[in-house]
Amino acid sequence: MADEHVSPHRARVNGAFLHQYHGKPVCLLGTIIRADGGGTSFQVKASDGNQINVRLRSPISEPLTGLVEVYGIGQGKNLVVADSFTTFPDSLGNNFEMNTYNEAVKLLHSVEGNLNPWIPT
Amino acid sequence: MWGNNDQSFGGGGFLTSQGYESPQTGDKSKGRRSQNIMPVTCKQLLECEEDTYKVEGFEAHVVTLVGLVRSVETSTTKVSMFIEDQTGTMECVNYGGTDGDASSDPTLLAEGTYGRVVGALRNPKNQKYVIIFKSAPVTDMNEVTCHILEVIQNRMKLKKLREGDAQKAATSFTGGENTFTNSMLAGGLPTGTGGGGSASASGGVGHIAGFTANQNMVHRIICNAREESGIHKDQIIAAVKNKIAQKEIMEILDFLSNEGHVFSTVDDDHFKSTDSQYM
Repeated sequence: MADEHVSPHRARVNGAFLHQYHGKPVCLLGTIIRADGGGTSFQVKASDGNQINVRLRSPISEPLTGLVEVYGIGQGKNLVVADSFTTFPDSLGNNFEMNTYNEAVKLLHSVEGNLNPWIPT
Repeated sequence: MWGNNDQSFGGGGFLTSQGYESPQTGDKSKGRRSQNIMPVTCKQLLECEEDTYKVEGFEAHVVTLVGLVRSVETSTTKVSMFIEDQTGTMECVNYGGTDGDASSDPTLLAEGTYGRVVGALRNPKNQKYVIIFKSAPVTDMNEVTCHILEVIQNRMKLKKLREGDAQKAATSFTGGENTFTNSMLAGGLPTGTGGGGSASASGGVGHIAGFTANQNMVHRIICNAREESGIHKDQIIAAVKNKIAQKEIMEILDFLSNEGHVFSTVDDDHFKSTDSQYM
């Protein structure tokens, strides 16, 4: 497999866990609260309700809404510097159970290492 | 001579040899083998040491991944989809290629969307990929949550199975059957010698109809034996110690082997099950 297809192991986080991954790759799934002017950042409501700021490396032209998954590096308690993100159409986002996902994220962080392939070692 | 254009099958009792194939020496020679499918992450597949992916010693014949389709590359011989699931990226291949018109292939997933791939790990020349049996877009994001949980549950369950093997053979995999073994024990219960066991059926709990509770227990123990040579009768006796009398165990072993559920291997004291997944 060529190198361009290698991706980092990102931890799925919500607001509460973000600070544990300062400087490390994270994956944040949440809903867009608002996009800031200039298109370089937006705010996301994480699965536990916390508000997280997302800073983009290059600005986006269209306003984003709905369910979004952000991939980037965690910074402190409420910032993610994004490498990329995925938006989902309303058809996928509307039925998504955020509470259940949040429970799954909490579970991911509580199950010990070798039983749990989701958390980066 | 024989069989050139000869369509007649009569005569000397010989069949003209039209495709008289010798048995395949490949996968099928070992008899029935159960196939399983396990939910996995890309990282687990990338990091596993051998060509097959194993969890707690259980081999996964088929795996399923759920992740973002990062890129799709088509060529005349194959279609490669790179699935990224936050633990890593795995190449998933569909051989057969395209006619050059990618949009006409219904199995192609759209880049930047979540998809599920069901397939098998292949590792030629140390380049791992998954050969696709089925690929489909994820139509409900809850499937992603579900996959996350299934991956964890899969490992935990298999670890529990492995630990519970010989010691707690009476405990069913699906749980909830503990109580029957205690209530059916302690003498008085007729054993199933000579195939007559169905009369005292354990209320349908035994996973093969017609077994008594004790027969089922012994059969389960033998099914779980991992070694090539199966399990020695002393190990069976130790595993059901105090629950079944030794004489009864011997009768059960006779019954099971007469019925064809178990057979002896390296010597008369080693048994293996015909229903085992560990062929």
